[in-house]
Amino acid sequence: MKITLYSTFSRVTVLKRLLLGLIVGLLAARLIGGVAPPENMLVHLITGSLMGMGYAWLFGTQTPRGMADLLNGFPVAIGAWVLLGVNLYPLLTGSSPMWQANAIITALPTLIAYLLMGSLTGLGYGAICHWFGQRLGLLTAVVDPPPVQTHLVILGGGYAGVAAAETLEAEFAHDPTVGIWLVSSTNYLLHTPMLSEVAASAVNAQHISPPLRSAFRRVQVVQGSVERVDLTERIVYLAADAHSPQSQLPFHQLVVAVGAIPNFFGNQSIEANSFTFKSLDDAVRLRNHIIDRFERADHEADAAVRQALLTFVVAGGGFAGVELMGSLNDFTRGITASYPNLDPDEVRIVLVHSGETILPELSPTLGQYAQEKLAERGVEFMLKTRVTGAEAGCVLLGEKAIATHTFVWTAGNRPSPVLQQLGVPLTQRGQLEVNSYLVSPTIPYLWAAGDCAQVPDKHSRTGFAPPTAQHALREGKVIGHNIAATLRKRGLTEFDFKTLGSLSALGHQLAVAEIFGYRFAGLLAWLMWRTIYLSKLPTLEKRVRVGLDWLLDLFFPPDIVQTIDFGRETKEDIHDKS
Amino acid sequence: MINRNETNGLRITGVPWLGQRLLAGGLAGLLAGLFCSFAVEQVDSLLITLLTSIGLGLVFGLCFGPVVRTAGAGLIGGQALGLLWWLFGSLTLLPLLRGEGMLWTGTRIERLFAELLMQWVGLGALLGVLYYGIGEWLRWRYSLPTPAPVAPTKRRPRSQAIAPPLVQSLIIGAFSGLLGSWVFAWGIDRNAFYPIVAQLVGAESMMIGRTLHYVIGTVIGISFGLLFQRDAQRPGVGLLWGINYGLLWWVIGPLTLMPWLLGVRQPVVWSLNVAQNFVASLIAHLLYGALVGYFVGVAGKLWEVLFVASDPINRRREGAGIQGVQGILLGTASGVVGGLLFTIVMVGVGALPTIAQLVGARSLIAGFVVHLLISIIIGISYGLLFQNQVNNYGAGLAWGMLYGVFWWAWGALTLFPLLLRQAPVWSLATVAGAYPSLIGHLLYGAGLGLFFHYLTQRYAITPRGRHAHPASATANADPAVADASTAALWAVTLTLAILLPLLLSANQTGGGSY
Repeated sequence: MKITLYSTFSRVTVLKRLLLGLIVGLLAARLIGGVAPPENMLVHLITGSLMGMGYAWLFGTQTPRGMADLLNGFPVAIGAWVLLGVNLYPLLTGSSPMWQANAIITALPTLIAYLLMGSLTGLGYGAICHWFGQRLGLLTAVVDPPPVQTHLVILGGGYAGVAAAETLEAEFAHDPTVGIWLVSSTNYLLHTPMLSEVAASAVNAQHISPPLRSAFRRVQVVQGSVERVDLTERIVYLAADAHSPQSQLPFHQLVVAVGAIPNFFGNQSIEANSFTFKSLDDAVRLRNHIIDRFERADHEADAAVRQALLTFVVAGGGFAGVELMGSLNDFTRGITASYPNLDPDEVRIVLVHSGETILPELSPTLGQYAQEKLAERGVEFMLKTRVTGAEAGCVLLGEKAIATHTFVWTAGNRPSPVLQQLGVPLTQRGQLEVNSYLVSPTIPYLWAAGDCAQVPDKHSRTGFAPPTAQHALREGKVIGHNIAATLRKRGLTEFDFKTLGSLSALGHQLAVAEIFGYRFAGLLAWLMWRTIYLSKLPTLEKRVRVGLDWLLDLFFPPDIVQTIDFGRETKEDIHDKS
Repeated sequence: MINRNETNGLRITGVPWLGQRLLAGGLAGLLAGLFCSFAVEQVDSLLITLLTSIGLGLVFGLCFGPVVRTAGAGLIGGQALGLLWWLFGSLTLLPLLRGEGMLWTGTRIERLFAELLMQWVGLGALLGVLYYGIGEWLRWRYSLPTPAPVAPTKRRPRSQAIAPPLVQSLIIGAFSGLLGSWVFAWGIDRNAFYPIVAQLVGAESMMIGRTLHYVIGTVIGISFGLLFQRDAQRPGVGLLWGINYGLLWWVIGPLTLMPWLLGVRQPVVWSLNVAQNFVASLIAHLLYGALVGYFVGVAGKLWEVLFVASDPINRRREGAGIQGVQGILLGTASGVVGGLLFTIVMVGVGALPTIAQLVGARSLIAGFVVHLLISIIIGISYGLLFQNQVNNYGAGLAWGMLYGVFWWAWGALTLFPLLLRQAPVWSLATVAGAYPSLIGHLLYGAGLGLFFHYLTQRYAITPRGRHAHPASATANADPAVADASTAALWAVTLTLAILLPLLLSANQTGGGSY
């Protein structure tokens, strides 16, 4: 165990430091005042005390260092001379400030007096700190690092969890007795609006996902999943896959922000034969799979099989599905230039949606616009249609079927099953119920935010906050502030946020947006989409990298390097599927 | 004794033992005292001078010895000690012991000007450099413990040294010196200056004088690269060490060597009246030094970014890009605060309409806007240059004020007239006329430095694990760099604080532009 002497930041210590500075400054002024220029001793004493307190404020936290303390007095003295000797004192005596060169000579002896007073103050202050600092309570001997007394645990490394962790880190920036743990299944924060660009090879996967560790200085990141949570004993039990030396995390306050997972509504055939599109891994696998299909199609002689290989079906006409559709359309049609045996017209992109118009989150006119523009660019829409099942090589739409090797499911989400481990009643949608302070109404140390929480929202039509990143971010911040307020016994803040707007990219220089009720479409909306989401991408480094990716994308064709090998399918396998 | 400080990327294993420091200090003091006795006119007597200088040498070895690891550090430490002795000894203790009554009158301070220069340069600087040389010789001669880099270990692989190699430093110093020489001539009377320089080689032609001026400037630049190779590795620190070096050469050059070589005065006379004739030269030397130091620092920083920090062994959490943006943001806010403080003086002396002329306007509001924009730009440059330099409010205050003085010389006295399409003039009358601006720049610098440090602290988070540093909240401050430049900072601040008022306020008889 290591013991370290360091200056504490408490209010009492600061007052003690100022008092010591005052006393030392007065003594220095008394000493120098006896031989100083003919000024009133009272002026010297006031100057000395101000300089002493100034010294304590400027250098008070520094450990005493002998000669350095003496030298430290000089900037204090020069500052005091400029402020007091040259400006304030002449003004107080009804004269003009001594800003003119010929007046300065009269202030020069005062400068010398101040310099000596400053250096004596520094030397005296440092010496007293050195010999009596610990006894006077100016320096404190502490165990280094000090033991953690308050444990804050956050489950989930999405927007809400990270925002809560960042806020807590800032709230307890200099309090080492508060420990913050963030448990996340990934070691990065995924910037989901740009996920479709990864699938379309427009942006590198790592560039939209800043590592959690680089975001924090204090928060301890534990990569892994949660086995169960004992809310009575206040312990989080980590699953065996967690990269942590301890299998349990005790907590005083728990934040649950575990997000949502794809919802297949119990249809196992869809679950078994579709790609999901929620994580970076999903996007990377999808991109590689598409390239793999093109590689195979390029040498496929059978037209029907080739057609199935080049058909891509997305289920779900919400933001995720439409953005993916727009990106996939550009990507698949764009890379045909690299496959001379393929006819671009053979590429078929189908969006299956149960509603009448796509993008139900936006105004119907924007949904209509998006549909028209995507159709112009070659996307085929099957509206008011539900996917009833999926098999290897085909998607079932009731009595119809589409032969395809690529089926992506974005048609539903449900809260993470981790919530069921909490042992508390959940809402009908399986979410955790919280009040407007984002704390559980029954358990005062259980907080929740993001897609997994049912957050009251007076601005929403449903009465609850929608599952968007902008809401999750704000909810996380409110939780951070409220936990700090709880620990400090202060009043809590209500969650009160009105949606700023929504944007959806539709492909090459095309987007729709609805911001503060104003609707935008086309190139302008696309520029807004890029500007806003680039600015929201965490860390400057990632912004620069994505910016460079976009710039290069203007001049070079999409990258078709396949980085995942899906195994060697025989021709018979593919034919069987098709 | 183990010193775990790290300097210039090299781990230091030990500091010289006390006896060695005292021996080196005593010898250096003796030699410096002998030099002063024979070379400079204003000294009491040989015995008193020698006793004083030996005593100072011992104090130097005792107090500054552990931090003198380069010739540059020796030089700056010696200067600091010389100034301290002038303040405490010549100006205070000795008159008290002699029973001379009232201290620190303007007349007495003026009278002791020569002694100030002697103790600052003749005694202090020489003592510091000699201390370093003798210390090195003692270590070599008697195989004493040497502060030396630790051999790379398996756990801590060694990468490229932070400082550029010596040859590169000398080349960079030469180029910087050449550039500094060019700027040097902007505000002085070249028609009078070049022929005087030419007389050093027995000629009178302008061309020879100009050539010689550039040669001398280049050689001094090279010497800067040699002396401060490991000290001035960043633009901010380089600026500081450069200003100090420029001021030193003002005393060594026009006040000492020039009259000596030209046979005007022997031994050297360092009176205030003579010095006032060289105020233009002082500003020229200050800017010359600042530019040389700045460019050597920029080169050092580039070296570090390209060859050291980019090495995976040395990678930090935050790269230069992120730190740069932080510096710009915090510098902008701090620039506004400093600018508002400066506005008090601006309004007081009615300078805002003059500032407005930069954009072809004359109104107060236009002047205020331009002034604030300039404040922000300078604040940003401060953020970029001094971001990791400051680890407490005091250092912030000192760095800020020093940067303010630099911008007084570079901005108010040089760039401002140039932007108004006028030739800059650094004559005593002009410089003394710009004194209110100096006060404004000091206020600006103080506000800038203090608020910048406040913001740095405000947004700092005490890290955990091996990055934790319980004594300081500013975890991103580089203690090695801060330590290495502390003595330099105080020495330069003190020098300027005493020199400028003395030169500009005392009987302004001098009118020479050089």
